[in-house]
Amino acid sequence: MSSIIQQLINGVILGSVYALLALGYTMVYGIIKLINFAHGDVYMLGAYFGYFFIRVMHLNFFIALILSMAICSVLGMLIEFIAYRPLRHSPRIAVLISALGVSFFLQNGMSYLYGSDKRAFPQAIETTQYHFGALQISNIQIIIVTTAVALMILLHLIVKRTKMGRAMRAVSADEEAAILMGINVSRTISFTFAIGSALAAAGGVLIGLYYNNIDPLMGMTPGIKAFVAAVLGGIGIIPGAALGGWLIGILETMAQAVGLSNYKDAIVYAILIIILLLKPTGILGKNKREKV
Amino acid sequence: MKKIIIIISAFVVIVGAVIGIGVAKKSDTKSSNTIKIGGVFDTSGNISAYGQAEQKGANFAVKRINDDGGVKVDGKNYKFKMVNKDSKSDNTEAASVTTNLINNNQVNAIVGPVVTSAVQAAIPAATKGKTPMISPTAGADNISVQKNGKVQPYVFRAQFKNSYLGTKMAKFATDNIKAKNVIVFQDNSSDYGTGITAAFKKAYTGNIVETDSYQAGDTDFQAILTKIKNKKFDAIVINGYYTEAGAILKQARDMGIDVPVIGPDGLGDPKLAEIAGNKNTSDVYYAAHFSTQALSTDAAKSFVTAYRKEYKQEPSQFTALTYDAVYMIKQAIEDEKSIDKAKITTGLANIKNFEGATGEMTMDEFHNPQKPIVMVGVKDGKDTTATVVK
Repeated sequence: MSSIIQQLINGVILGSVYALLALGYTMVYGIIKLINFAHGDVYMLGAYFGYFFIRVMHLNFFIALILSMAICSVLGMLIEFIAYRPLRHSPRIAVLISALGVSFFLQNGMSYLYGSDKRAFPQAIETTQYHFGALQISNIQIIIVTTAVALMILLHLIVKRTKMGRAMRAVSADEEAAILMGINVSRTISFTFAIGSALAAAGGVLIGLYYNNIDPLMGMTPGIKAFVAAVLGGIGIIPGAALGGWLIGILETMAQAVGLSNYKDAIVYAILIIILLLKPTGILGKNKREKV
Repeated sequence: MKKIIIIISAFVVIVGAVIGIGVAKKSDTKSSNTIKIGGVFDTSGNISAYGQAEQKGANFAVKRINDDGGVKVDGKNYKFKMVNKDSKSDNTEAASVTTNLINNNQVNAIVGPVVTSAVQAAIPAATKGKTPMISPTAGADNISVQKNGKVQPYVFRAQFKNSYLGTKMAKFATDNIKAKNVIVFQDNSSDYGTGITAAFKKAYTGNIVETDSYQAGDTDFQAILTKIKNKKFDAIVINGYYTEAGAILKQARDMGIDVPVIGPDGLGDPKLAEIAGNKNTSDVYYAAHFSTQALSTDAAKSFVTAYRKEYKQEPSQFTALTYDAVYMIKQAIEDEKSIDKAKITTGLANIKNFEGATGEMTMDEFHNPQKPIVMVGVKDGKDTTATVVK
């Protein structure tokens, strides 16, 4: 029994990072209907900035976390400005291909500049284990979950309580009506990218600390899994992304716990196919009637 | 009339040019005093750490051979020349680079590729080009064996084959670690991990509690480790490469699993301790072809001294094996007294009691060198002990 609970804890920790990433996917999709495939690579960049700030600048872990979130949010806006904004009125497939291009550019650019070797992420925080009966959890695992939850609450407050959040919801609901209401759509989209990228960067730095290694291709698999998480929860729906992230994390962990470690990725992708076939709007999605 | 003269003279010019080129080419190969060795190394991509170390070893060997005056064949002095190409940690790339070296660069022999799967991809190219190819570090048993059970005529290696490795690891686990129950992790995405596991299972006399598989690139092992934590075992065997092994080691030690960890040569990289953390990298034993602490031949001593002087650092086993591969080609040329590709192939197949940096070796009938193996013990991230397992 205790090992099942321990596995659930493991799943929630892994899922927290997927959730942070999935939030970025879902927000961008909600607002401009784009699956931003470069999102996983912003997560990678976040990890590299964290590495730089801790290893080279010798900053405190949390300061490094916040700085790398800030830089990645600027980068996110830049990516949107250069690669997606000029294509805003093009067919959606053009933007999608542009997103793939950005993804390859970031991966190969980083490989070219800094080498494709794995790097050891500096252990800025010493690992200590806490025991609760048969269960154990480390301080780093606690940091991951609390940071993720804190950021999600912050995001929720921004979306629900601020003027910018209201603008985001308005653009997401109906872009043209939002323009008529005097909302600066371009600025709102930039803001969405900034927030999404900051969350991805946070995920990258946390994963770097947890697994202790980073490389230019580290964003690929988590990026795709986070995308599955976003679809599972209902793409475009913010709480859905968090829920989807945790579910995928737990599912993956449980698959390994019962001895299906060979198939853990296959199971995640099978979920994607099943969801798309049975309930394309995801768990929290509502069936909307299309206006014809 | 004028027209005919022009046509005839044009014809003469063209024919003359063609013959001229042919003659020039012929004389070029004849008077050339270099033996070209093609290097197929992954200097970028996933396993670039191995590729770079090996390229360095090959270049160093060539430099030493040339500094010693090259190699004498029939009273003629030849210098070695490395032509290195990056196979980018990609099998298709390894095959095309090999073809390229044979057809465009006209190499006499090839050193590389680095890993089994890349060698398997490059075998057709080497066979078609009738060029001997000696991989420093490909381990899978079947690379030098054809489907019909005959030896692959052009494929050689400088390291021992995987099953040899798995067998010796099993012996080490029983005799030195005294482990009665072990848990095996294997990298399921390569023949390397599964090949060693198969040999280990065959040779190990104790009880294998369970075998868990993972994929290269996996980072999260919490679930598997939580599952095994409460089982009874005296050692963990990780059959894979340093990146994932480092992650397993870190997460296992963080969880309080502190039994000895045994692994193949894939764990033998300083990055293992970098990824796992020095504190966590204790009581770890990995198989090695070579350790600067257990030098068994004079060639090894001379290699290490010269390498330290040249690069101000310790040579890795990958560097040493590639160094040996180049010297084996030199040996083959001297034995056969020819730089012909077919002769080099025969020479390599007949290498006997060759003193290399990685020990004394003799080629068996399937082009696998028979030689001693070293188990290196790591404490606090540093190689502290070296045990020779015969």
